[in-house]
Amino acid sequence: MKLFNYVVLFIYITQLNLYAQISSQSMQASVNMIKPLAITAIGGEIDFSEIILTGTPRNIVLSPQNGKIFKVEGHPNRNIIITFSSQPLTNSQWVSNFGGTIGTINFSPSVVHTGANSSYSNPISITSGSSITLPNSQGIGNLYIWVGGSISIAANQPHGDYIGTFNLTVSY
Amino acid sequence: MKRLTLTLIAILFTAGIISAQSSASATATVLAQLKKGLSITQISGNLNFGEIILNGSAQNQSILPSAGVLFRVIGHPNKSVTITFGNVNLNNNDWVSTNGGTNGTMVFTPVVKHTGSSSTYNNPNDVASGNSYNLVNVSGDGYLYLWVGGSIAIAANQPHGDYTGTFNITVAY
Repeated sequence: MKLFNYVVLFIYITQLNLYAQISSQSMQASVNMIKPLAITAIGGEIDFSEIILTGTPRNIVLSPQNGKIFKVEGHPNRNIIITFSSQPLTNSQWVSNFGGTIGTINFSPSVVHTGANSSYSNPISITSGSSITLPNSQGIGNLYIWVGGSISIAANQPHGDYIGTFNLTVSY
Repeated sequence: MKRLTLTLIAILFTAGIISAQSSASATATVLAQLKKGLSITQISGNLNFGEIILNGSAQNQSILPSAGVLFRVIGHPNKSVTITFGNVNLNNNDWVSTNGGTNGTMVFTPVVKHTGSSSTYNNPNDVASGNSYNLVNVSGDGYLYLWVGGSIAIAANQPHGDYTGTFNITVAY
């Protein structure tokens, strides 16, 4: 009994595929080692650059192709949940430095993936909360995510540099 | 023994779940630089040379920028603007059409100065057409005051009449 408990403990600690054997019974013991998820920004910026205010409402769009690129690494062929949300941008820091009127604008992200392809071809739209399979790329699940989006500028939008932080989370 | 087997399965199952849970997050800064649109407004003054009595000799008449037209430019603070303007051909066509006489032209050559964000004529700086100048920050807005004077060259045989023309000045990012 004690020996068997040691075997159990050993399996639990090492999580190796083992063949557990006792005198009268046998069973296959296995553990699937799952590669943990990682997400890394590998290029691009979500930068709408300079926009000259015209006094009329405008919607400015930044294509995901011209936005920021993230690379997700995880277990091949495993599904991940991708979550993100709209983000308010504010010019409060700019107004603090230069004066003027504080304003906010809403950033609505547009997120696509290109599977294991690091180039922007055949992008597939991603909605927050959706599940995507990590394509197998030589034993690693790779997924390239491209983030652009749009901002809506009001007719009387205060000027200044608007900044916010976009968050992207992937999970098993 | 059966109990131990179930325990083993439970442990393995639990271990599997623990290993399978993973999440990762990344962030990106979102930036949009909204620039105040440009406007230019005539504040005061005019480019009126008044009455000039022809004397049969060539002569130049001038208006100092401080005595001419004052424009105010408002835009994005600390952003540079390119200012363009040119000479103006004046003619007396309308006057001749109404009163008769001889058509004539003469050239108005502008002289432009700026005083930064000051609306008074202190420490004026030359403004050359096509050059760039920074808008001075005043409480989050960019200001530049432009003063326009100039001169006209009157020929010895210049036909008389009221000469008019339109001076254009343009500011652009």
